[in-house]
Amino acid sequence: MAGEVQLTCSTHRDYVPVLNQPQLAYVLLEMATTQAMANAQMPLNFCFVLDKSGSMDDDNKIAQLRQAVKHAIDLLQPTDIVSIIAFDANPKTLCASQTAQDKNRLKREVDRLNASGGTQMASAMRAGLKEVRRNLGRDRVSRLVILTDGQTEGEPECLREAENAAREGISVIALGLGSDWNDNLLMDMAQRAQGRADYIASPEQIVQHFQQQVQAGQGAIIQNALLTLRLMQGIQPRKVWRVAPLIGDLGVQPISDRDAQVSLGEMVKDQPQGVLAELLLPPRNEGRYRVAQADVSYDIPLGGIVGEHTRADVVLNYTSNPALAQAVNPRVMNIVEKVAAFKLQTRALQEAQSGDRAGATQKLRQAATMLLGQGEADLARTIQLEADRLEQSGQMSEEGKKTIKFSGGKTVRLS
Amino acid sequence: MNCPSCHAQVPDGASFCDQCGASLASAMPPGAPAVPAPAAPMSPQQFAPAPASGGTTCPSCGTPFVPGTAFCDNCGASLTNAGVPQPQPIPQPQPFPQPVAPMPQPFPQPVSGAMTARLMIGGQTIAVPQKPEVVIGRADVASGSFPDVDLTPYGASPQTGVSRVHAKLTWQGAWVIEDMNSTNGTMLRGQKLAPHQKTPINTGDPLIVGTLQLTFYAS
Ligand SMILES: [Zn+2]
Ligand SMILES: [Zn+2]
Repeated sequence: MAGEVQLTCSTHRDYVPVLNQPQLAYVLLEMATTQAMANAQMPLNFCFVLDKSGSMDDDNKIAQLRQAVKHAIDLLQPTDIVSIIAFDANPKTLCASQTAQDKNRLKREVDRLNASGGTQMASAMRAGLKEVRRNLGRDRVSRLVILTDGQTEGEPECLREAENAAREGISVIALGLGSDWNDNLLMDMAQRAQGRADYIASPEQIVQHFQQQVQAGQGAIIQNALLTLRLMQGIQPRKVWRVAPLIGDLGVQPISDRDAQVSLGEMVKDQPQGVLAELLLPPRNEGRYRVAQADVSYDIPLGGIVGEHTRADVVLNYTSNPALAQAVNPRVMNIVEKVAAFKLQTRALQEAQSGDRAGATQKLRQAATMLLGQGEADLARTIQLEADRLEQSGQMSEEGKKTIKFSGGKTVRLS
Repeated sequence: MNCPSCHAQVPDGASFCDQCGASLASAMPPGAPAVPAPAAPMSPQQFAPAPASGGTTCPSCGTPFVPGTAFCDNCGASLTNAGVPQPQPIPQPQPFPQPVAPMPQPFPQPVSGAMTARLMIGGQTIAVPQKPEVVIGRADVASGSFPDVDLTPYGASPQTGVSRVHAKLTWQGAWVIEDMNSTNGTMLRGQKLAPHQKTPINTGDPLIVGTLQLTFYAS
């Protein structure tokens, strides 16, 4: 069977000028699951690992968390598998690994969640992994969903547990609530375990984040997606970015002088993936060229499908007619600009960290200007505010920093 | 069968040469556009002529870039209209109306620059009239406001925060800009301008008038 994934390619220009030197072209690759997969849903093997330390008593956090977990339970299929670990200085198994058949009983266990004690995440991760391990299988999405609101003891152990999870095919979602948690730790954990970290600014938003996580797990029907670009002779792949659902550097692996490979991991139904490749084109005479062939291979565990392919050509015209070379594709350029703004934010955060106040301020302002022009008014305002703060006091706010770090990559929405 | 471009052996029926990528569609006259009108919506963007130096460096910060790069890697400035070498020289359009008033005499003739400028907004070019003082704003018949550069066709309105007399460009041998005490302010290179404070503006500078995002080019 083929046709589960649709791949389309567009370039920032259909016509590029004939030049006597290399030039850059931007190629947007979009991948979406087709109608054939509309009803597919992956069974889950989720463990919620929940911080119940004393600080969770503030601002109604623990009550909002209880409500969010119960809502997540409602979204599960009876055949999904779930476990719940609550932790302070020690982990406690609220629900051992089980199918979500008796939802009312599961929810009653959630009501036992009360806030007190310290924060020791690593032992809780260990306890969570033990539960997930009971029902491991390639045909299930196995995942730890961790929520914490504070700094944990034993950060190196947390990273080690994330690596242990990755080795067993268990991904780690790390969600930080409020401003007092280590974003570098959570991002590092998520990265090591093919997961994702995110920032939950206020307790009322926990429910929506948990819902997203359950739906993303159930929608993760495409696994092990791998993009191969077979390039025309003389082309250098300079950079490959994921642009949607989240902007990030994918890193290119050259596998020969003509082929480059990029691992895309899992693909979620109804969540189109976008990849932006920056290709350095060699000088060429006028004419029409296939500059690259894109090939995406993937597995669909539900259908027992392994190594299915979809392909598309990237075609460009070299022209000596300046009028033709003037036209740009605004949709691709819009995404190129969002990636440029993201790069500026990332570098600004690094420069602010290393004490280059002027450099960071300038980059934040430029990013804000670009995002404002793109209609990303909320993010632009936050960035502008943090630039002012940084310039005046030499410090950014913890909330602002986390908003920029975690929202800065969410600006591209493909449909 | 051999590729007409690189002479590599290619299988019969292939549409592109596997070596050099050239199209093997036979009916293509050389130099003619080989594809029908592009399906994606395309917006025309005017190129700036190649700079005298011929170099490709960011007009804002001077960092070198590869032709085709959309945004400066260092400072993020838009490079779409920066001096990319052209396949052939483009005749400079002459969109500027003749100035109505005679030029003031004491005005110094610059050695290098010229009193021409344009503004870009959303891929569209707005010619700046060749006058030493150019008011940017929003035309309003009722109050008799007729700025030199009227941004109304580009989305200016009270809702988008553009005042009738919003900002002013002044030629002093180089361009400077000032905010005319507008309601919602003017931002240059991401910095809000104090009212009536003349600030140098350079080619490629991002400019925000109210909420409209423009880019200034002296050319
Ligand atoms: Zn060839
Ligand atoms: Zn620059």
